[in-house]
Amino acid sequence: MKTLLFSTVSEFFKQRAGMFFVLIGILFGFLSGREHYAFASFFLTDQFGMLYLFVIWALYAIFCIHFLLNLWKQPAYHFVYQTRLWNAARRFFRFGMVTLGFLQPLLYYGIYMLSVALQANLLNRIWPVFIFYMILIPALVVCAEWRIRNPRLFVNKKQAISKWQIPRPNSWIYWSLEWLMREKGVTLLVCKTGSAIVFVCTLIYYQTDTYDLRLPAIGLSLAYLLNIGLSYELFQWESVVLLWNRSLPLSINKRFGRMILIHALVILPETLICFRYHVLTLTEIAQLYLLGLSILLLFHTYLYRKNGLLEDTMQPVLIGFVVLTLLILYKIPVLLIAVSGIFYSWYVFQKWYSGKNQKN
Amino acid sequence: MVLEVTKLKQQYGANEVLHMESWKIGYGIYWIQGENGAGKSTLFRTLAGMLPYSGSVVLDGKYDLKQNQTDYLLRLNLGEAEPLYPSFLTPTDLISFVAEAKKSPAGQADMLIEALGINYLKNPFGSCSSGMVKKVSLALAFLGDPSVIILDEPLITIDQEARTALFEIIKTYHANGVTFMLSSHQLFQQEGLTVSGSFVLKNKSLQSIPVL
Repeated sequence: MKTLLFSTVSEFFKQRAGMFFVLIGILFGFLSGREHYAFASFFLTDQFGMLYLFVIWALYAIFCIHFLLNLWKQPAYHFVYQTRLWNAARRFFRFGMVTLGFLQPLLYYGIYMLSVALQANLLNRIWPVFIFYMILIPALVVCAEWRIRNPRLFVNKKQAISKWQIPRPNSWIYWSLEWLMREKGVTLLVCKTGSAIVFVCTLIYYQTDTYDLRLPAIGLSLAYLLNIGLSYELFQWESVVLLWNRSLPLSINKRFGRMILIHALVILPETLICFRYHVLTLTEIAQLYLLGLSILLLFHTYLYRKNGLLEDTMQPVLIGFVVLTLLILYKIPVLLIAVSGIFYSWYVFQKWYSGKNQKN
Repeated sequence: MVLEVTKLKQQYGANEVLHMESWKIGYGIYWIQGENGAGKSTLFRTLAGMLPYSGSVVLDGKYDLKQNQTDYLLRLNLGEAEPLYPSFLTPTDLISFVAEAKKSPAGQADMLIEALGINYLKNPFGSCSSGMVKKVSLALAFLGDPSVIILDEPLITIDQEARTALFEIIKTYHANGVTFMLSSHQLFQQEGLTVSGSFVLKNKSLQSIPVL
């Protein structure tokens, strides 16, 4: 059961992380709570609201079915056909659990709609949601059952929807981001969701009274710091997955530049949330962005010193954050802290990258 | 001297893997031997700049791996024993990327692709067999204008045609002045290669042994 869930549902969220990443960005970054409420009210009150909702949910369910049917054709998933040895009741129950895993976003949204219906006294309009569940959940179970009754064990690897393919850019940055999306989707989702939530909370709190830049500086530093999981994965990408890349003739400065650029791109999405709330000026956003970048660069550089041992870096991260908070509270300019952090990480990167810290 | 190593130390945590006081080689083809786990791959990775180390490694008498990293790495190539590449990339992606980084002359990549029979350029590595991946890694090792090429277990998993082609490429490159360091549990001499020297990696250091 656990194997089935991990190998199928986790794989779905991992491989589709990019899509969920964009969706989360839109839903939690750019739509305010009021707009979410308005959407839910529309579905509950409009004459065709529930029909629209069903169409959206059905499209998502088809998307899941398409993924499931194709995934179980893969040679690595031949073990799934062992499920035919289970009795029917057990198989339907377990496929049902897998289905619930796939449909998690719909279940969560259903709960949200229920709470909106409760608040707006519209409980009498919520019943179609349960009908939708009763249609969509069995639909996925039936499709899973169909697949294991109709195994297709040959996959044409060259098969493609279209013969026209966009060539992959010859870019290390692009490959790194593609790797994050494809292979580290769950980490990407968790880090970005966490960071986006802290961002939104900080910005909402900031607009409740008159504060200076120190408040968002501390709040957004913490939000940016939640990207250290991604920074660690990027270290693994360079030091384990494609270690051989280190043998390519690139100067240390170019490697550092690449590190800056990729981290700058990684923390860009949550930074864009600032523009949605209109509580910070462009200069302030730029300062905070640089501060976030410097925090991540310091962390990433430190990984080279510790040869990527994550547990050895946690204590310095905690101490570093406390020191940073104190610096901000004592009104050291944010820009000065940011630039100093970037400069220091450049300085130590020269030593730690090629092991110059080791005694000759 | 083509490659000169002084006081090279390499360690994983507290475990010292390499400790070489002094070792140097001139132009030639060298066979590096050693039992499994002796540290051959670690030595090659260190020489290729993939692992931090202490000590000094100098190429062609002037390019220090720490001081002149870019120039050094432009002139030393490594073909790994068991190469692993991201599953979503294709041989085309990787070969064109490395060819650009190594400043490979026009036509060189195509020549290597044809010689080694890499006719699966658009297949992602995830769908390639280990032999297919190995052939790509060998092609990468010959890109650019290196003065030293290290091939770690070049013969494992590749087919007979690729093996024959590989030795032809080695002979051509060697005739053009390239020094080779080859690690293999199999002999090379029957393939027509003249081995200049043999070393065995033992007790964390390379020791010269008679050429067979």
